[in-house]
Amino acid sequence: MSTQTPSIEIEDYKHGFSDPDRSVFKTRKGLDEDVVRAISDLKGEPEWMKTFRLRALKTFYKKSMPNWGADLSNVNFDDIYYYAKPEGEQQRNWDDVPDDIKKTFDRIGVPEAERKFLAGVGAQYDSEVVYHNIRADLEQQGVIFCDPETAVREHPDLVREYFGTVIPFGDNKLAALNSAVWSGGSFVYVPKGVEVDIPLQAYFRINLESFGQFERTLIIADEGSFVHYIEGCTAPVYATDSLHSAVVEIIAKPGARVRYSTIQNWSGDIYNLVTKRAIAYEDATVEWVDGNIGSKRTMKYPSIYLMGEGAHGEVLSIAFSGKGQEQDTGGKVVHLADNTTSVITSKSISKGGGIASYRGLVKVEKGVRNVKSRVVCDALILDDQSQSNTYPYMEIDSDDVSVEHEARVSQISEDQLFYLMSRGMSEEEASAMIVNGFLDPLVKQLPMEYAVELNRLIELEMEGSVG
Amino acid sequence: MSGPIQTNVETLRVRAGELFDAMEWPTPSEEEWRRTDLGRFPFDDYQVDDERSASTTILEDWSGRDLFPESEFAAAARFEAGVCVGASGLDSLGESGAILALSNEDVRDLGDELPGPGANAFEKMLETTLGRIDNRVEAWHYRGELHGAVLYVPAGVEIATPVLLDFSEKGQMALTAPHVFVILESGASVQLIVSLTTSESDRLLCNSGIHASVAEGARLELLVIDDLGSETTHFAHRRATVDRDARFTQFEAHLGGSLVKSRSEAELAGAGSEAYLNGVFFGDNGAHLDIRSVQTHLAPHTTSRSLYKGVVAGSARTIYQGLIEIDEEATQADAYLTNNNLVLDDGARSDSIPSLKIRTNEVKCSHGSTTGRIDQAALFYLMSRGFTRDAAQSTIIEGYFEDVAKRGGPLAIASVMGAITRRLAGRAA
Repeated sequence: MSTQTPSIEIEDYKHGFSDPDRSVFKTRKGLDEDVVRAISDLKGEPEWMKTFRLRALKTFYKKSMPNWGADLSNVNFDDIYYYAKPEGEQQRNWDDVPDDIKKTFDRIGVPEAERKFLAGVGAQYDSEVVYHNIRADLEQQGVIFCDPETAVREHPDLVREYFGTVIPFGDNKLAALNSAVWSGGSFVYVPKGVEVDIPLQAYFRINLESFGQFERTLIIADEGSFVHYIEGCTAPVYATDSLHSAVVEIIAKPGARVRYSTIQNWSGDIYNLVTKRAIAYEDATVEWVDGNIGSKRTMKYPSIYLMGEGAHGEVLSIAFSGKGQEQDTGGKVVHLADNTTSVITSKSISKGGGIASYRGLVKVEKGVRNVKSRVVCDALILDDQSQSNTYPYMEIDSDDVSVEHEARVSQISEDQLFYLMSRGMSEEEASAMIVNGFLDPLVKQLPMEYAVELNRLIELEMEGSVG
Repeated sequence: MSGPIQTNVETLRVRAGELFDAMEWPTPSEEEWRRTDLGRFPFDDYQVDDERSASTTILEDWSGRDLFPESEFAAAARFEAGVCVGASGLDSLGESGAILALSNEDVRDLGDELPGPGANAFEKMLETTLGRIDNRVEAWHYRGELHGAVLYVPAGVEIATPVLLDFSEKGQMALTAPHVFVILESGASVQLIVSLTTSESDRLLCNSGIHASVAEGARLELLVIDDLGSETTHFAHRRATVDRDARFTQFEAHLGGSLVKSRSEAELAGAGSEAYLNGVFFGDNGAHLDIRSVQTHLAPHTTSRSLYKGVVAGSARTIYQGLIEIDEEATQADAYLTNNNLVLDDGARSDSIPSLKIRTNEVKCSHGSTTGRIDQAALFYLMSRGFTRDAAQSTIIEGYFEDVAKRGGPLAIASVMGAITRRLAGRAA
């Protein structure tokens, strides 16, 4: 079998177009107290939020970059625009969104998606959310879905109670950075017992070059409620790198269930360094479905703290690492209460010299009884230049546990290829089909439209991968 | 390729000393040391016993029968507190061409009696050893007062019965550095048993090393039993280089000790080579055991397996860090790693970190890890048959360990199971 160097070119990235810079306000490059104050003033924030930002900035200076994981040596914090406000105000009516931006999201397919299958949509362009809408019936039931700036204004009590409690700004350098310069994102509150039957979606778009997008998402699912939140990300292709560093906090109150799905398809010049963490109380369930296809470097390990008895956590992680890419992804679960269970499933594919690393943690705190956890990592390496790493950490501080982990790294089996090719498929089609089959158990977890999109993205990435 | 010998044990010590001076003690910011913080470790409190090195070597006939009554050894040697106090079989081993060289008064002479090819191989091994020192603790090991042996088996020689080296370390606040070099030329074969025991009462630091070179088609079976006192700190540096079509099998038991940090690495350097790393570890009371195994595949068609089983009790903490690394050249590599941990008591802590670093695609590579408590159904079954809880628990743990110990052969079963039974009895009492 001849394995030729795969030739996924950057042109294949269909979201690579860019629009002219029409920002109405942009901070200068680099970061200092003035920049943070300017962002806060522009948003007309209350003093407590400004103080929060400034304290976070101090922490950002003090903390060092992680000395593990993906190679971040080229991230230059002084060469980034930290805030850019696009033209126009936030709209609830799609027609009122400025034309350029509307065209962008039309091309990505956001309004179409909303019409078809979403309960609410948010669209963020660079630093600000340009569009936010939610189905009227949900709003009547008390569901809040807005950008965090609006939440700070209209629901300050909720924000102050939960903001930064799951991920304090001192958590890591990038969380501190986000806390200092955050802009945009989503704020979701689902009242007791309300089930949001179809997903809420947020769409993140970076348009500028050398830009940093720092959205902030906070989801509070009150007792017995359910919500599924989906985020998608794209950016144009530029010569210089941009930074996306989000913070996502989820609080699942007793009996609540929150599912958070990500299809990350940033262009190949984005550093994607994201902190995502959820807290699950009694009998609550939190599920992260995390698909990482794009970006230059991704470091992201969605985590779940199981704080209440009977809580359950699941992380499903898909990573596709092609030429020039490094996906350092995984998941963390910390068992802090009795009778808690967790499952982490990771599937990664590396090709064309890409590096896919699984990095995960299962931790069981002292004295916690009856814990079950299972971690399964599968990796496919499609050619001899690509790399796959697995770094699972299991820290068990209790004697009443069952923690299992297994990992496999393999190539596409020649038997499978031979079988499919004997049925008349080309090698390329056969490989793509095997890869799709490999990811199938995860793709099934996504809403159909997203599953279709993910399959299509993988097919695109697989094109020309065998010669 | 013979020339004047450039590197001997003395140059190793000097150059390791230079490395030692240039390095800092490892800190938790380095992944391998993240869970074993030596920040407050009183390195300077431990001293080499000067009188020891000056004392006269007494070479009595020592057959190893007091340790393994059932066994015959091709050669055996015993070291007490750094001094070789007894040996047997050296001459008869010599008739086959193999050499067991022992350090006596002056460790700098170690290996001097090796014949031409053996001396060259030994020199090469010392060079490799120097090149691989990557932390100050290991540099410290070589720089200090080494004692130990070189086992050399020439090409094509197969030693039918095992060779035994017994190290018994003692001395309050003593710093000891036992070391064993093993050189197997092509097609040679031997089983080597290294037993390391430390005094139960003395607070001491043992910084040990075993380095093996297994040439083309050779077979080395290494059985290492560390049965340590509760006040012992043990740093262990173990590495084997396995050449074309050669096979290296290691079984190591880490029993007891207060602080143990060990790394065993098998480097599959030649095509078609195989390595099997097996180990058990048992931490009780407040012990801290940090055990690492590394399977490095550098050549095509290489096979490796690791199986490590641990038991952690009391308020002890065990850390198992396993790594399979497949180099770009190592196509058709086949590697597997298993780690199982039993947590006996609440308050005991077990970390399991099995990692994979894969640099090529034509591989079969996987690992599995489980951590849990004793199977309650099995416990209940045994108790329903009249076992006390402690007896039932001990029986289950013995069975759990025996699964690995039998991979080390009958001697491993005899010595390891004996030590484990003793430790379990101590717990129940």
